[in-house]
Amino acid sequence: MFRKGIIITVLILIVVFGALTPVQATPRIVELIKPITDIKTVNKNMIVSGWAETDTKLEIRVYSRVSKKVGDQEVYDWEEFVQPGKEAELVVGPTGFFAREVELKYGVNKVVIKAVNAEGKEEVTEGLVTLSSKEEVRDAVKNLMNFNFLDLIKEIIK
Amino acid sequence: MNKERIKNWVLVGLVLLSFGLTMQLWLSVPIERVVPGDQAFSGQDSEEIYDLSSFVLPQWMVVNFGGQSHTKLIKDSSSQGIFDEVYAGVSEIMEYIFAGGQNITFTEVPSDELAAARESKSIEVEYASAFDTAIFSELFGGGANRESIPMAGIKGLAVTLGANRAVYFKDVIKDAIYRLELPEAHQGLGRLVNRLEEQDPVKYWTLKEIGYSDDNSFYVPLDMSSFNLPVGTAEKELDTSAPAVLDAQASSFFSDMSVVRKITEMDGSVIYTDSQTALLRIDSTGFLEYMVYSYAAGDKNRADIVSAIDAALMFISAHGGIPGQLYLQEAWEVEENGYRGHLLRFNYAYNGLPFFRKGGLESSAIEVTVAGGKVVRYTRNVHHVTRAKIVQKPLLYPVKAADVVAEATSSPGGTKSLPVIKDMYLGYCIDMTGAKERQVYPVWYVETGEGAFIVDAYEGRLVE
Repeated sequence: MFRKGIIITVLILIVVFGALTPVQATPRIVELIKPITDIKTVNKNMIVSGWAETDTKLEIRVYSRVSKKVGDQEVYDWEEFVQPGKEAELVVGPTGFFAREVELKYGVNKVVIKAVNAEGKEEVTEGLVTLSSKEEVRDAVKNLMNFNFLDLIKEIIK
Repeated sequence: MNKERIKNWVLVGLVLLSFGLTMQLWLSVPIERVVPGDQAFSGQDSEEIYDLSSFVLPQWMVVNFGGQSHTKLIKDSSSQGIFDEVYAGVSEIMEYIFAGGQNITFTEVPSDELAAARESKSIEVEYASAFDTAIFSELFGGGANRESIPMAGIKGLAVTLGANRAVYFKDVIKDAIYRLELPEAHQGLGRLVNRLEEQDPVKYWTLKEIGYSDDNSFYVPLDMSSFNLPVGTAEKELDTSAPAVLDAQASSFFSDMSVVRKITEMDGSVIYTDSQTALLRIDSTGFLEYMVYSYAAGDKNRADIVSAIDAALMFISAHGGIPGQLYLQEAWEVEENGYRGHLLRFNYAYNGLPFFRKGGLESSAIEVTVAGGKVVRYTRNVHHVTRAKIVQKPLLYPVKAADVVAEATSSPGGTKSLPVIKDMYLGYCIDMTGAKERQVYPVWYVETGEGAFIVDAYEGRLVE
């Protein structure tokens, strides 16, 4: 009976301390100012900026989604969109701040940031960015305005 | 006999030594006889009429396409056509305001409203400094309709092109923002902006959009591959090694050269003076300074900015000529010997970008002080670009230029914090330290809380 009590107390203590102890997250090499995941934009140009330790080497590349026919099936693949005249690589300066402009292609883009710090540690951050034309957005808003929610609710009730 | 000869030689030696030590030589011959007539300048009574609009131009214009999409227009060779077209549209609006005399009503608005206007489809116009409203009144309205204008000095304006058409003026003297509703008639600018957007011009960003700071008062580019700025060499305007050229220059300042003395100083500077009215000094770098001693015949209370600019431009034209791409940089009210007047600072541009002088960052290419309706002081330090070559590498990114400034402002080995940047733009620098030919190269001008810095935009070195 006494032994059982000790075991239960120990287990409770483990659970309580386990919950209270903060998880020590590994510090990231690159801290982006704005996240690059699941962004929808009408601006052809996008800023990737943030902070990293001095002398961290960065590679910022953009890939656009292209469809290919494999037999009868249509498969999607990523093709690098080489930024005309822009260098993909950069080395973070003494202030630790960096900023680059990347150009997007219409459709779905994957922005990949590869960082290697002075100790040689590597980190890859990537996110999907969808570029739509202003006309597409305008049409989408128009459709939304014309959409009859009452009909939809009636349909669901039926 | 020998003793006498030795004495004579000693005497001659002493005289020569005195000349050598003081480096002052008295000109015994009137300059007109020394200087051929065609080398002399035309004199200061030029009747030429100047178009003020050529000298009071925006330093830049920013076209906001809405959201975080902006482009900057400067009057360079690549975008001069579109710059002129956009500014012509803005000028039409300015004419409506300054010449119309209609029942126009300005409303003072909070700065948030201007900020919102800048985020919508709009055009921002920024002048080199806050100019007296009288200049704009003269430029766009022939001096009429000044009573209905509440602004004292205009640094910039913004024209919105959306559904609510309005123009906002930044009055930095009164520290206020004024809004004026525009009639539907001014729609041409909107079409022009749509056309420009289709051409996909180079995008510019505020520091807030980049994430550098909260400042959104100015814009920088981040696509440096789109710039193709040449480096070059420049020569000083005056060949100071040619006495005839200097004498010719002097003859344009003095009506009677027969009474003018020429003094050569130890450092190579040459002084011309008639001892009564004025003095002209030209140093070995080509820097020219003219000062008037006598203010007689001037009107003590005459302090009209527009006539001061006219007088200054006429004087510049007659005394060295008007350099290409000259523009009015600043105008201040001054008082000289009890006479009210203005100090006018002019600079000139290359490829639409302003010139900076290494070793004289705060100095202007031309400064004219007009007091009592007369030019009483004139300085000029102008260089002409003689050769230019394209550089096959991209310009330094603005963030890298900020890094260079951070390195310069922090202690060695200490942490480098981001400098607080108040303004930043591209320009050209003339290295004044060269002998005859001076290097001219593109630079980043970075204005911070700790002062202004010039960073070589190709080499990434701190110039000044």
